Amino acid sequence: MPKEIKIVEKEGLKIDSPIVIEGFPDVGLVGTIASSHLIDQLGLNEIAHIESPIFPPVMVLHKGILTEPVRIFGNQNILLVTSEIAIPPIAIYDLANKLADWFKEKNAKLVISLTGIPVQDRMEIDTPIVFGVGNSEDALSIIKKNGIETMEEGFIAGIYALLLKECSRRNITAIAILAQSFLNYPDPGAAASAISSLNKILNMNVDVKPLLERADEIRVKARDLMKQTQGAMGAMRKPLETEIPMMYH
Amino acid sequence: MFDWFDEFFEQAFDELMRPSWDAVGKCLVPLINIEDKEDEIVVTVDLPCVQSKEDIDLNATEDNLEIIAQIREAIRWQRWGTSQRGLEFKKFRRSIRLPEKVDPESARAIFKNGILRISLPKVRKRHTIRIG
Repeated sequence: MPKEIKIVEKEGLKIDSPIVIEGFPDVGLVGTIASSHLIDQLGLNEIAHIESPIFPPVMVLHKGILTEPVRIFGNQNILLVTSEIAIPPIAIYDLANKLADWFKEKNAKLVISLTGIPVQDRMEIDTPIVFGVGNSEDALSIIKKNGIETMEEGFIAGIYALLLKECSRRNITAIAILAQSFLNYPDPGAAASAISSLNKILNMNVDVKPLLERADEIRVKARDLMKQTQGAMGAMRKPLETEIPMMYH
Repeated sequence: MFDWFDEFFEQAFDELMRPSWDAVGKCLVPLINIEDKEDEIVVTVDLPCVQSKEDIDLNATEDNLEIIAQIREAIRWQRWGTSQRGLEFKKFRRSIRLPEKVDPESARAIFKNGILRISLPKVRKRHTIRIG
């Protein structure tokens, strides 16, 4: 089944032991907004794209150039996977599997997903808190060492949940950074919080000020992707993320 | 307990089918969320680029809510799309059919960081049922 999804690398790509960042469209488009800012600030270039017959038959035009909507950007140290379209729920399992295989092949040191966790009172929160989820003791120690609150109990749903699992099966350390966010409105403030935590983990200094200054513009531009993503989130059982698991061990 | 979440996903499909802008009216259609609570309907509206509450007009009847919000610095799509290109949007506008009758005179609203929240108390009358 994962063979239905293909990662097409640019010719001559040589990357070994990168840090991988994933930011697919999800709650508040936190991952997508953060990814876009990171590509800009870190000067990452497109190094591969992902194609599949189970993705919507969509291409994107940028400055008149035909472009794939699901792409991988990077430099020698960092790979960043992101999408300009909502990932259809039917593709989530295969995509997570394929990506984890590819990360293993590239000998990824660490995989970090950036996303949002919906909070009902987001309007009252000035600086969203970030929670971390890890797929191993090593992953949890990275989260704790960087002063990020861990999510102790609860359900997680969506591609980042499967990526944590699939990376775990391949002995790749993986973390999800979850910023408190609006569920269905693009949330640049939450994306800024997620990047601030990423800065701590990777010892980087990506400036979030330009992101916050452009927040209104981003919110206007991201409305259509947010609408697409709303439809996909329901099928991904996102409502489970607000529920409490029954088991206590 | 988590009705707000379930309700949101019921609305998601309708939302997807709705265009996000109106070329004729030169307005953007804002993203909204409607929560049907026990005693009130709570509508939240995403209004980026709207600067203050003075720029927002709210008109409500028992079963309808209309939101018009002026954007002081018009939004122009210079490069995007085909029919949107060159258009200038100066306001958000949306009319919502409410899921239950409300008392518009008792409605209240707050606007913070570009998000508008309107609470509309329901007019549903409760009758005590005597057990015979």
